[in-house]
Amino acid sequence: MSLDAVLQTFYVEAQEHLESMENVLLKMDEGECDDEMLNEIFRSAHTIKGSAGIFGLDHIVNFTHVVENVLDRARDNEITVEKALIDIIFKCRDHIQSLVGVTLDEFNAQTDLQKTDSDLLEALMPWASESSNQTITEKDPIAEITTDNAQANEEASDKFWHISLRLSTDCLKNGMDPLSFIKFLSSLGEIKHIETIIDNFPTASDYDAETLYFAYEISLQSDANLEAIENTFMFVQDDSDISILPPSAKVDDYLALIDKLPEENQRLGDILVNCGSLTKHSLELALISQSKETSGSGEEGVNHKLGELLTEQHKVPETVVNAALNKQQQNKSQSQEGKQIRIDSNRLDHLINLIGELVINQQRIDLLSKNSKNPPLIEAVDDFENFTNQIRDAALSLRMVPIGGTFQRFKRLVRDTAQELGKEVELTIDGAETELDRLMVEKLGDPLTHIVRNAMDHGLESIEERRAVGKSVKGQLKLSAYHEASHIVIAISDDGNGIDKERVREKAIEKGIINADSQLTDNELFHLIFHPGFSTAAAVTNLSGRGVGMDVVKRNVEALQGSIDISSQTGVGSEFKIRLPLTLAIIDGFHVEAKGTHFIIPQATIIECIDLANHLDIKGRHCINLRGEMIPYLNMAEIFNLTSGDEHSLKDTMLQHPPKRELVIVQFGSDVAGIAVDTLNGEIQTVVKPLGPIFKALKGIGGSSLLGNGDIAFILDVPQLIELAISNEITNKITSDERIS
Amino acid sequence: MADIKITQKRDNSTEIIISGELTIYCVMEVYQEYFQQLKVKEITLLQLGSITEIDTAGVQLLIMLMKIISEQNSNYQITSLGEAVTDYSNLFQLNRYFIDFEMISIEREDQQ
Repeated sequence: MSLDAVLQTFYVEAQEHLESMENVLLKMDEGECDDEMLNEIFRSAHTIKGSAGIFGLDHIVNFTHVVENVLDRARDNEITVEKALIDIIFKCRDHIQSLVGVTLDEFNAQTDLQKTDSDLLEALMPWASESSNQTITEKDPIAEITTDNAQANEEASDKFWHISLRLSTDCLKNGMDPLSFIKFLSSLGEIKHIETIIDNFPTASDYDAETLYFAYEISLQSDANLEAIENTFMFVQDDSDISILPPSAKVDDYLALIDKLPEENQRLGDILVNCGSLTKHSLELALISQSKETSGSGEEGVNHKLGELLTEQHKVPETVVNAALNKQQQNKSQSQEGKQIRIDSNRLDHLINLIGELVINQQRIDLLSKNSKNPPLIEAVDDFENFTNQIRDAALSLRMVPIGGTFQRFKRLVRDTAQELGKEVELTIDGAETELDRLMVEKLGDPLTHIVRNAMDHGLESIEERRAVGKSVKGQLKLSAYHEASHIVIAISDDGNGIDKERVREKAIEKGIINADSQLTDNELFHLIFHPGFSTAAAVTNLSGRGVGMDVVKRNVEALQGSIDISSQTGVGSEFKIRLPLTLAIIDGFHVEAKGTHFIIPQATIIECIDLANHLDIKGRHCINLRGEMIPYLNMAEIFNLTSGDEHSLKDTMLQHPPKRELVIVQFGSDVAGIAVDTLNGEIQTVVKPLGPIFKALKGIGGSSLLGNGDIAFILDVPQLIELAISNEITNKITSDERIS
Repeated sequence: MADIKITQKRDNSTEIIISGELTIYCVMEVYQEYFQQLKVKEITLLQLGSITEIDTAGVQLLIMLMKIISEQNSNYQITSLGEAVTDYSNLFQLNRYFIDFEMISIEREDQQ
C-alpha cells in the first residue's frame, strides 16, 4: 500500500467520522444527549486526531486536540452540554472538515483558515480545561531523555505503558516512518525512554537501504487508554509485531514479553530496565526465582531457563492479550455494522451491462426452445429464466441506495438556513429507507437543496407573520420519499404561505415570459417559477432569489427522466413532487407491435389493455369514452408514420388475422392516455439501450432494445407520449369546434 | 537527494561530507553509489552538519556507514552533527551513536 493510498483511506475515514459527528450533533441540537452520544462524538474526534498525527498533519492534530479535550470534559460531566457549546462544536466540525481538505503547507499559507482556527479555539476557551489551553507543541527533547530512576517509576507506575515495536520490515518502503509514530506517541504523553535496538542490522552485503532494521522498546507515560495507543499503529498493525503492556502489567507480563521477542533475553531484560519499565530489582528477583527452580539441573544457562519458566507463566499475558484482542475485535465489529463495501462504480456498471446481455440471450434461448416444442427443454429454459430474473434484480439492487443519507444532509442545511433567516423550522423526514439508483441519489442533491432553500426562504413566513395568522411559530418542512408504480416520488412540502399566484403572474408579465392576456391554469402558473431568470423574491438574499436555481432544478430532474409537480394553496403551504424512474438500466416492458414495428411500453405505466373496437370513438377526435371518462389516445402508426414493411409480410398477416386494434391505457402521474397498436405480444424484460444523439429530437421514444429474435424494439417514452396525446387532443378539439361553428 | 563528498586525505584519514536530504527517497542510491564499495583509511571523519533532513532510513544508512567503517578497522569521528541529525537522535535517544562523537570533536577543537 503506497502512502497515497493510505492517505486516501484517512480522508475517507475522516469523512465518515465527520458525518457521524454531524448526525450526533444534530440529535444533540434537538435536545437529546446521553453518554453514548458524547462517547461517539468524542471517538470520532479522537480517531481523526490520531490518524492525522500519524501523517504529521499537525494542523489537524492541534485543533482537534482542543475539541477532543472539551468533549472529554463533557463526557466526564465536568461541563454541561449547552446550546452555545453545540453551536461551536458544529463550527469546529466544519472547520475540521476544511482542515482535512488541506495539507499542512496549504494551511500555513491560508490566513483565513488560520484565523478561523484561532477564533474557534478562542470560542472554545470557556469550556476547555487549563491543560488544553496550550496546543500540542514539540516537547523539549532534552526533558524527554531524562529518565527517572526506577524507584520513581515504580511510584507512578499507574501511568506507565510499555510498547514493544517490531514493525514490518517493509514499513519504510510503504511510506511509514517510525518517526511519525514516535512523534504521535509523544503527543499522547511523555516518552520516558526509547531504546532503538539495532541487533538485527545485517552485514554490508545483505544491507537493503529501504528495509527497516530498527526495533523499538518504548516507555510512555500517558493517561491515554489502550485504544488510543493502539490506534497510533492502526496503519501498520497488520504485518507488524506490536506489544503494548498496560500500566497494570505485572513483572510476569514483562518476562513473557522478553521471552516472546526475538532478541536475547538478558539483553532485553537490561533494555526494559533502561526503559524504566522493569526495575533492576524485580528483574533480579525473577532471575533468582528462576535460578532456584532450575537449580536441580544446574548446568543449563540462566537465559535459557528464564524462557522455560516463562512458558509456564504464559497464561498471564495471554489473558491480557486476548482481552485486548477481544476488545479490538468488538470495536471493529461495532464500527463495521451498517457499513458497506466500497466497490468501484465502474465495475458495478460493467456487471449490469453483462447482465443486460444475459437477459437478451436468455430471451433468445426462450424463443428457440418454444419453437423446438420440446417440453423438457422448455421447462429447463423456464427455470433458467427465473434465475436470470433473480440475478437481474439482485444486480440492480446493488446500485440501489436508501435516500436517507441524502435527506440526513438536509438536517444541517435546514438548521443553518433557519438560523440565518431567523426563522424556526422543524424538518421531518419520511421514507428515508426508500431506495433508488445511486446515480440518481448523487444527482438529486443539488435540486433538492434549491427546493428546500426556496421553501424556507420564500415559502415559510417569518415568526411574526406566522404568529399573526395564528400558525405555530415553528414552520414545518417535510421531506418524504415513497414508491409509486415504477417511480420514486420525493416530496418537499412546507406549511408556509404557498405560492402567490398573482405575484407569479405579475412577475412573469413583467419579465415578458407571458402575455398580459394569457390564460393560464394554476399548474402552468406554478411551472413559471422554473423559467430561467424568474424570481419573485422582493429581496435577493444570499440563499435564494437570484433567479438561478429553480430552472436548474427542472433541468436536472428532467435529465434523470423525471418530472416535477407543484401544488400550492395560499396560506396553507406548497408541495413539490419530484417523480423519478427507479432505474435506467433494465425494465419490465410490455411488447406491442404496430405495422410490424416493435415497441416496448414500460410495464409500470400500464393500467389496462382494451379492445379499441368495443369502445366508442368520439367522432373526429382521438378520444374514447372509457367507463364515462374521456381518454385521448395516440395511434402509433400515425405518429411514427409507419407503413407495413413489405407487401409480402402484409399479405401474410392480412391472411392470417387482420390486425386488431388494441388500446393500451397508460398513466404517468395524474395523466392518463391510450396507445393504439395492432398486436399485444406480452411481457418482456427489456435491456435499455440509449439511442444515439441523432435521435434525440425524436419525441416519444426513450431508447431501444434488442429482442430475443434479434429484432429491434423501441421503448416508448410514456410521459412524452401522454403530453403529445393531450396537446393533440386540444388541437383536435379546437379544429372540431371550429368545424361545428 | 543528498550530496556526498568523499575525500581521501594525505594524513591517512578519509573525510565523508554528507549534505542535503538523507531520506528514504535517496538512501538506496547513496548506498550503492558511495558506500557499498567504500574504502576508508585509518581515521574517518564524518561531517553531518549540512544534512537538512533525515528520516529513519537515513539514520539507518548512517549507522550502516559506521559499521562499514568499523569493519575496515578505521576509527570514525563525527566532526559536525547539524540540527536534523541532532533532533532525530534526541527523539530516539540515539545519542550514544551521535552525540558522543560530537563531544570528541569538540574536545579535538579544544585541543587545537
